[in-house]
Amino acid sequence: MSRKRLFAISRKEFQHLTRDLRMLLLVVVAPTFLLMMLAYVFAFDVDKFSVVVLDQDRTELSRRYIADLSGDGTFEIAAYLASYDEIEPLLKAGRARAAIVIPHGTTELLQAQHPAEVQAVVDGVDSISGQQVVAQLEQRSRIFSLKLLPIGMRSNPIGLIDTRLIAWYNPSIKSLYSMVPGLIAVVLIMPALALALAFAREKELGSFEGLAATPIRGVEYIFGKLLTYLGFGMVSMIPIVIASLAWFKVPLRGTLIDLALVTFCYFIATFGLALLVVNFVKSQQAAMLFMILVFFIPSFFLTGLILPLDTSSPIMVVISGVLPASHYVLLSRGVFLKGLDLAALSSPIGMLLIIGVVTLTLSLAVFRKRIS
Amino acid sequence: MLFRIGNLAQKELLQLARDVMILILVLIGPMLQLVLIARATTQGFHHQPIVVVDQDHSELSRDLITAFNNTEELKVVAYLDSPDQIDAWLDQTRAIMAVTIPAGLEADLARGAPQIQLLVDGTKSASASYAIGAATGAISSVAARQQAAGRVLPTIMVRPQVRFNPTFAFSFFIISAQLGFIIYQVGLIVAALGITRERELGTLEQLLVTPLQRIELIIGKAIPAVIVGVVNFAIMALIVTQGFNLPMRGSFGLLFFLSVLFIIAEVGWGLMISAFSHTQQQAVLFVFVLAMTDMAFSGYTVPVERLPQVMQWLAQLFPFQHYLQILRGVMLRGADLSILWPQAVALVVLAVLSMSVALFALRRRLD
Repeated sequence: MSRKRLFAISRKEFQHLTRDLRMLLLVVVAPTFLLMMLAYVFAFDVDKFSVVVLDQDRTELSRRYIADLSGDGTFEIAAYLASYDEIEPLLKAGRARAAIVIPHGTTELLQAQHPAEVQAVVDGVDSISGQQVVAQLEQRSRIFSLKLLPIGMRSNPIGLIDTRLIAWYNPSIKSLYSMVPGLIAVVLIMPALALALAFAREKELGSFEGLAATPIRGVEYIFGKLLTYLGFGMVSMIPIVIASLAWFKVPLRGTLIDLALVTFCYFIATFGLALLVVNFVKSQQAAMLFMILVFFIPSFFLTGLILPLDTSSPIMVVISGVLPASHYVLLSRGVFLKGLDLAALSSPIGMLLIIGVVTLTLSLAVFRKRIS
Repeated sequence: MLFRIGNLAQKELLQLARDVMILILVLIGPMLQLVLIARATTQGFHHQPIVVVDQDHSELSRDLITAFNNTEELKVVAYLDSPDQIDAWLDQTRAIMAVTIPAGLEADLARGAPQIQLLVDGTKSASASYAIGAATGAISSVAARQQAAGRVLPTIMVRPQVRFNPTFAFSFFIISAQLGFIIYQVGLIVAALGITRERELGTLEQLLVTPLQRIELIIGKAIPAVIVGVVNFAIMALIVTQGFNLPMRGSFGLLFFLSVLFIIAEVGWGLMISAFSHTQQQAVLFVFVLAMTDMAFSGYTVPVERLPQVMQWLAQLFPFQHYLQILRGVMLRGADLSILWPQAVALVVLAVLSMSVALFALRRRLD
């Protein structure tokens, strides 16, 4: 491997990227833009729910109950209904998460020191919001009921076990803190996508044959390109870190150097996989589809980013093990939120390096045959 | 004119079919992906590993542990002797939560409200919320059983009646969104790269010197993308309803018709991208950025009503948002046109708009 030829290739790639402002923006800035967008897509925090209310009781108490629910804005009351039949179309149209029905005689029951039931007709389609609505409503109703008890009984709500909740690393369990470091894994697939396209493009345009005729060897060709995209990938990390810290205010408890090192390993693994894939496609269209369908979208769901890792079947374990994002999600959250050092993160780092070395070796082996 | 458009569309389809890799990716890729994701989400937030530090060793504490294991969401994977050991379990993400049951819990219960400590890993916020919800639910149900029997109190109880998805299956929510998203991605890519590819390879000039008119060229390019989208929709709707038991409560005909409208609107966006990009690489990255923006505005995971007001207005411009409401409305809620007409009208407007802008922009670029 000659250093001169290696750098010649990477200089060529560098010029390809930098002479085209649009491309440069897309490689360097687009990941940050995506991160900002996606962070809001996956912000699962309880903010507000729009609900409709059917108050059949119409007493001072039922009005107080409704006011108590909507007081802090968690339940936004979109409409007051007059009849039960109005609920169905509203839920079908997705205009309200839930309908709260306070039946006749609720106040009488309560005044007679009996429990009373309110009904919550919940749209189950949005399963996360739906469950949150039910949980919030139950909690609010319990607290409201306590206020109805005679003063003497309030302090000792018979036999209740209290729970004290402590969330480590993210005390208020803000989903942004959790999602932003995780999503970095997804948006950092973009440099690998650009790399895959750069390879496919040379094949498609035929300029690859021109290169094959030069003394450049396969290794130099591959590593030359790799080097440039690695450089731009690392540069694209700068705005990402700035956005995470300054805009999203995610704490960085580990060190920047550790973050840079694990990101470097992540690029090695994703670039290796991208190269391996590109060996088997002929066009940029195919490379793109492959990267999106095989890499990008599964990275949301099969890597522990949103859902816990599925360990119930060996196939799923293998798939999530092969996807580099599974490991980077652990690393990124580990460095940002848990402040772990490299020693504590050695196993995901090791996995990334294994993926990288294996795929790079494989793609070199496949590639050499083709260039000769 | 129809003849020439048909010829071009046929050429495009042949080109797609000739490249086996593309064919696999366009038709089998989306299916495979949907199946994988559906599988992963069916599992949902079930059986998350938790550890327990039981310092009480009483009947009550054993009841509590059984109650945790009886929830769908939690699974006790280890019993620790001391709280010092919790660190390692949470640091290495081997457990999502640690429950500490203090000594004397059972005795304290008679006197007042004793406290159980839940320590969760906040780095995974969604998993953590589910785990907390399940644990507090289990604890209060055990506590309720311990309450003096027969005592009635004036409390307001909530009786949830869950419509359309009684078990709150996360898969219903994600699979429906993913179905829309995959159709959309594939159609968009095929449309965005169709013309850019010819331009980059230099074959566009050859096409321009044929009797083919500009508008015919564009329509001919749009047709295969629409066909790919529609075929994908049909296959995946079948998989989703037959393989993963998602209901089809509304009319399939209506959904099909509105899906075609949606695909046309998206192909319009794709053609616009091909008007603005010089190379396929650029087009691809534009598609990527557009797709993510669209996803952010769509209510894919977070209802649109929770977005900031400005974003809610912007969201109206993206077809995916309207389509997702239609898709979930028809499939899961059994809604019909009398309910979904605003979304249907929005799709028609957006389809006409995006196609006209694309035609206009592309014609200028081609001349």
